[in-house]
Amino acid sequence: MHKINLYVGLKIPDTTAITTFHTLEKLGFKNLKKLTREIYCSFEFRGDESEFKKKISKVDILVNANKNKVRYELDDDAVHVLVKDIGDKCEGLCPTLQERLGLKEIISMEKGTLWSLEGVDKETAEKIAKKLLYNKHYQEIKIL
Amino acid sequence: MTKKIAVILFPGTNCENETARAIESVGMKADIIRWNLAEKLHEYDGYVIPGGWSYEDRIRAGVISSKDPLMNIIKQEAKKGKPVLGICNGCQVLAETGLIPGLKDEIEMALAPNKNPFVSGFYCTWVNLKVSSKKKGAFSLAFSKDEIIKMPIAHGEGRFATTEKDLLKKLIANDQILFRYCDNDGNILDEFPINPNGAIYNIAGITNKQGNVLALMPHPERASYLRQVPEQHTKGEESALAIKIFESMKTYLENA
Repeated sequence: MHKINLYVGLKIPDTTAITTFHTLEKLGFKNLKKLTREIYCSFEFRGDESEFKKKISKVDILVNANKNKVRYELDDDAVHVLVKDIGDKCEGLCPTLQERLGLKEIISMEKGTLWSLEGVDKETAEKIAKKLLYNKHYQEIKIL
Repeated sequence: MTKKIAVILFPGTNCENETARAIESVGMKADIIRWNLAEKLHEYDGYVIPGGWSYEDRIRAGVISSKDPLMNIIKQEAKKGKPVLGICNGCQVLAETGLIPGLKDEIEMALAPNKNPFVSGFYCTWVNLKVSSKKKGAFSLAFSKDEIIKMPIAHGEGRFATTEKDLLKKLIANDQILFRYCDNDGNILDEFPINPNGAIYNIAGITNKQGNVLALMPHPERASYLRQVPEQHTKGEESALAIKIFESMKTYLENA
């Protein structure tokens, strides 16, 4: 069994990230230099890793090649905030990928939103997350 | 003197006109106030934040609007006892500001994504609400306890949720839960479709402790006349039960 993380970002301007950045500026987080947002999917699967990456990056309900870009590693210097819904087992999406789209090698998956923050340390990133990026009453975060 | 209500318009709000119409139909004056032209907001007698998709629900529903400086004015005016009603997206905004349930100066609840066994995401239907509070607050003066009201819902994130230990007990003890989802006979069952989104304790509408702030997921402005209500639409312009929310607001202001 293998595990990969898939991060799906936008090639086109991300209006959500832009609005979030401006809101944080207004809330006093002036040191924040850049903010980007990606959809995070983590898969446990059977079989060959490079084959799976090739297949999953072409699933159009996850990745639209006209507007999305994908990566598998967090290789930048940003602080990352991963937001997930508590108890979300992807009960809608996972069976769709397995049954309707034929990716039977998937054993399980999880999904969330990855925010990448440049210009702030982990402590500030956590403050930002608590202030705006998640609601603790149904979501949880990890600072990476 | 005619009471003046500010209907707040954020970018993406889309129920401002029918909300203003419902307010005016009970004899109050409604002005639609843009979020960036709110200098005279404190002059109004009450506030309604209508439904829609403010800021396109970016990050999560209602959160960007909740951080707008305008909400600080509404918070201050609510503390003075002025009535504040949040409908659907407005309800989400009030939860994200912490104005409801308002027991601490922090966010105590969420309007989480709907949970039901058949439909994921946005869900639109008619529901029954039971008046579950005896308290006579700004939005309940015209209701009797256990009255059943039909209203439509239309939302993707409408599930009242909290991780605060004992919060539900406090809300019950304080009589803050004004409306709960029920069946046609008033039975409150925590099952779909009676509870359409999986809300804790079948909560559809919740007030602050003082009763002058109401956060309500269903849409009373879409159920204020019988012509809007299923199976009664041939009765035309006659008022439907949901109009009592706006009538209560008017009575509360006149008695203040």
